[in-house]
Amino acid sequence: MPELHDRLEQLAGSARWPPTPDLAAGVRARIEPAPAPRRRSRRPLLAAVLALVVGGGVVASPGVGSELLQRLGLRGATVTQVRELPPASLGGPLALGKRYSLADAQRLVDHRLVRPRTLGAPAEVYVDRDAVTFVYRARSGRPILFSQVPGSTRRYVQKLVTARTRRVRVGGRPGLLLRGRHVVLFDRPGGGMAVAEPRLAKNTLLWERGRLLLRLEAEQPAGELLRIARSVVE
Amino acid sequence: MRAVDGVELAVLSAPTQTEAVLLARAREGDLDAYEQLVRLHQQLAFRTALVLARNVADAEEAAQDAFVKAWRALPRFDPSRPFRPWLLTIVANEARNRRRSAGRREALALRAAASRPADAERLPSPELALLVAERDAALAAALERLDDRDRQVIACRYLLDLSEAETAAALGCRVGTVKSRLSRALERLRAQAATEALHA
Repeated sequence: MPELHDRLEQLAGSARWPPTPDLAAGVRARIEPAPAPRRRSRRPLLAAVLALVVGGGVVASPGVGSELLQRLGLRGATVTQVRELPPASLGGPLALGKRYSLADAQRLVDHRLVRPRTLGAPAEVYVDRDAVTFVYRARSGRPILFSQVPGSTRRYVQKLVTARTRRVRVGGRPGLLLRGRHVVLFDRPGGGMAVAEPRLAKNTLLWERGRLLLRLEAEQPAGELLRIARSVVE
Repeated sequence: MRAVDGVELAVLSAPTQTEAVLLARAREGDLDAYEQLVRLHQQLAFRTALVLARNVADAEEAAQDAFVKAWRALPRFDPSRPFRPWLLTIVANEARNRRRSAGRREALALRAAASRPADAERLPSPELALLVAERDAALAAALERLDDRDRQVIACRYLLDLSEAETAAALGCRVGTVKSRLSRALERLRAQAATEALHA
């Protein structure tokens, strides 16, 4: 079988593998010791999540058998770890708001819009109240979502996850890295605990920048999300 | 790195001095040392995961998760043994878990626009994603037509150039099994390649 061995070795020699991603940065970010979490009262958040469980909302509640395991929070966002995800459709609208030009979006909100420099100009821009979302197309053709909203005491988005959420630092600022599928529940305009349009998402990075809560959602690995996040500029 | 007349060149699997030093420092909690170790092995880890997971995105995640798990398991690593097989075992487990995951092929729920799979992901396997010379195409096609067990052992030994011990670690079997599995896989590949040539 020497000829086959030779041909296989030639095949190996002519192979052009996909580029190896820089895994080291992402690994380093994940194994870096996280700062001690600030102590804060869990009572209001627990009440809010229980309201979701009991009230049911428009579409989804965490469902029978779900269990609160862990909650982590940033301003304007709450992450709840549950044993199983509630049912959520892969279809339906993203509820990002109304589409505008970038210039119009800037005029509509009172904070200076920031953007990930590495992603260039967004393909689409949406505004929903004070939340602005840029939609980019990755080289794969799959979308990347970058949202920004002024952090506040009201909760803007609720995320239910089954995987462990990791605390990370982005440019020295606190953030949360959600890996794998999770369900996103948005607040309904007008306030209250009702939820709408639950959907499954993949890797998401939430972090604070000044008074803004930033959110990056994409299929890219965690390390790539961190690289994109670190490129955010005004 | 492959066996010559049945003798495995095991010395090439032993840690280099640099790797040994980095391993020792990493085992003491040195993050910088471990980051360097990751850079040393990330290409091998990614490609091994790609052979097993058959999907670029999954391979990247599997490799990264494997390095994180390896970091946590470093205190249990026996420094007298080679690092690569130990690492490859973790990488392979992560890659296989992703492939088994029932929801792996579900589309990402980012529906702002119609998604289009990446070219590399649209191809049926990493082996065919390799841009090979035309004369290698028939062999690559024959390799692709083999079942997973045959394809993986050939890919590990020839495309990844893993030692038998490393291949055993990646495939979760014994070294002796690698030898017998490889032998049978090569026989089937040769038959398949002959068929491909007839239809070419």
